[in-house]
Amino acid sequence: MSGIHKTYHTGSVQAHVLRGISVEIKKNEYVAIMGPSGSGKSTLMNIMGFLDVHDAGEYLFDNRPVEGYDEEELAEIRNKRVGFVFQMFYLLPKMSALDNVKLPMLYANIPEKEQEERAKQALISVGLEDRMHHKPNELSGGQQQRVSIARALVNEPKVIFADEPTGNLDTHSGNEVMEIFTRLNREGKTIIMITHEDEIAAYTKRKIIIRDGLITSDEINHSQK
Amino acid sequence: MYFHILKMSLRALQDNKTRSVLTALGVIVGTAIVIIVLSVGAGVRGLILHQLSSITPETLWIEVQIPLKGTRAEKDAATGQAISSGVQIKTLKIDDLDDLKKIPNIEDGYAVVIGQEKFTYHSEEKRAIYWGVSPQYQKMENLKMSSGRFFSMKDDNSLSKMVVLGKDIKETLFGNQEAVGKKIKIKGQSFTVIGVAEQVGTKYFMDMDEMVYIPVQTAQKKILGQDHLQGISLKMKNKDLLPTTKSQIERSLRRNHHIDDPEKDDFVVRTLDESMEIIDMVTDAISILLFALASISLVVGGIGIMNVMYVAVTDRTQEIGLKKAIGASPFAIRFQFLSESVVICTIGGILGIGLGISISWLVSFIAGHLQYYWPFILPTSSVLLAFWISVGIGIVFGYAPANKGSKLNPIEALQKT
Repeated sequence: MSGIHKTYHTGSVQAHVLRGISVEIKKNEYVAIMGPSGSGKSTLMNIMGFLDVHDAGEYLFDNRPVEGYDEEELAEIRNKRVGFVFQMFYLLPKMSALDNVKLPMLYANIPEKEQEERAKQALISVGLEDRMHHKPNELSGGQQQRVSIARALVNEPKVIFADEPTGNLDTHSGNEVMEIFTRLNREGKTIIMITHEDEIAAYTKRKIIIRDGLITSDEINHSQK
Repeated sequence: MYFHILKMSLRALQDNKTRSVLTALGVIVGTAIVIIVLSVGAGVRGLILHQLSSITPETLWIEVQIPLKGTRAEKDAATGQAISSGVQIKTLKIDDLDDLKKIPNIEDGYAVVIGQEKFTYHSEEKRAIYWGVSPQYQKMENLKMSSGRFFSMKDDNSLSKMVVLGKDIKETLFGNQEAVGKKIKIKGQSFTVIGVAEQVGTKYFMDMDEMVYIPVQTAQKKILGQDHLQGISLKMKNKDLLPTTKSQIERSLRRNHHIDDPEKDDFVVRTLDESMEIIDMVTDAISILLFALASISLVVGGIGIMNVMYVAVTDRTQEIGLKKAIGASPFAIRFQFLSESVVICTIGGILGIGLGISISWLVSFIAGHLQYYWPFILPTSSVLLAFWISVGIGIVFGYAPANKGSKLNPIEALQKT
């Protein structure tokens, strides 16, 4: 992506959050985006992950410009090509872990039987085979985050976006979650993650620092954990 | 996918059972009214037709009216008002009947005066409506006697003081005793009971079994002290000649009443077709009124649904954001909320249909107990109409909130707390 701008209008106040971001992220990279709060890092990730739209600049995803996509096409990309993991997990409280993981497949029109199998596999891969039928409030924070990773994985996207995935977790659970991301990266997924903790960033291979809507530093991490 | 979304909608409604039922109340009432209107409407028609079943296409009914310019309805209204305030129109006479019977297509006819008197036998007394009628009444109305006989032309012409009793009034006055041959008192005069009629039930909305029949001329001269009539009933030989016969009747009556301007007619000739038109007009008017009520209730119900769905979209903004973030299309979100409102309305509609059927049935059941012939009719079309109306309300009033939900920006919706 190059020259990305984003301005938010709240009443008469304008916040020029992104002031010309240019960055290229290749397949199978493992990137940490860092920066103080208000630096624009979340906005950048939301635009990269098709949750928000930039005002100016050019964004190529899979070598194709995304500016012309309509709402239905964007929904399909969010559904099949990328996966999102949030700091707040955002699991639906009335559904079991299994049903939460099945949800993206519902919108992908996958047959019920296959949904069941793939959701189980995804939960097994994050180590929750014995928690499938629990509701979110019966799970610990780390377990909830692993459910949401399973949900992000289940439609087999190439890219996973994670917005401070360990921000609400204790160190132990946080490390467990990071190990899952590292494994996924080794299995071929591109992972782009926001964090403000250096310990977390240490798991990744590349560290981008943003300040006041601009990239101030972009370096390879040679000492990946 | 649709099936699953529908399942999610059902679950959302189950989680808010009370709210869902309250929301559906307007639709329940509205659809119930639709069913009641159509079912009770059909029942009322059945009742009226049964009451008038002795009127055949051959029957003509002549009654007096106030001479007045205007439409039929205006004339009827003015006449009703005048008669209830004591105005009498004294122009219709027995002679008119005799002249009308000379018209070739008229087979027979009878004259009618109606009054109310106290009838006494020893210590038993009873106020009742009596019909002073010509002897032809028995044959033309097919009145069967359980004992004794009906009066004859000779009885009528000689002003004989005799009566025929309806079944119930006979029992009130005489109990199980034989009534024929006994004398009862009317206005201090003695009348001989010469016959008792078989059970008739209600006819023309009157309880014929509480009725006393008196020879028309006796009633005029000995009880009422008048020589005019309230009406004349005629029977045609051939119903296809109605237009000719009707104008012959009008000409004959105008000649007798010295009227040369039809606008000044002091009588009106009614036919079955006209009566049917009036019945249809009345039942249609009632139906339109009730349909207006039903529409108001349905619109109110629909607005209630719209309101609740807006609240649901706001309540679940974060859920919408999450679903969009994991790939739900605007269409899928719209479908989810639309299916919720349609399910509420459909369930409301089904409950309303059940309620409407129960009430309609109850009405006919109670009317039946009160000795009215009131058929319970449930037109299939009414059930289908009510059902599709409720589904339609779900779609129409659910669309705007669902559409609002579908257009939310995913990240803004997610971050809403």
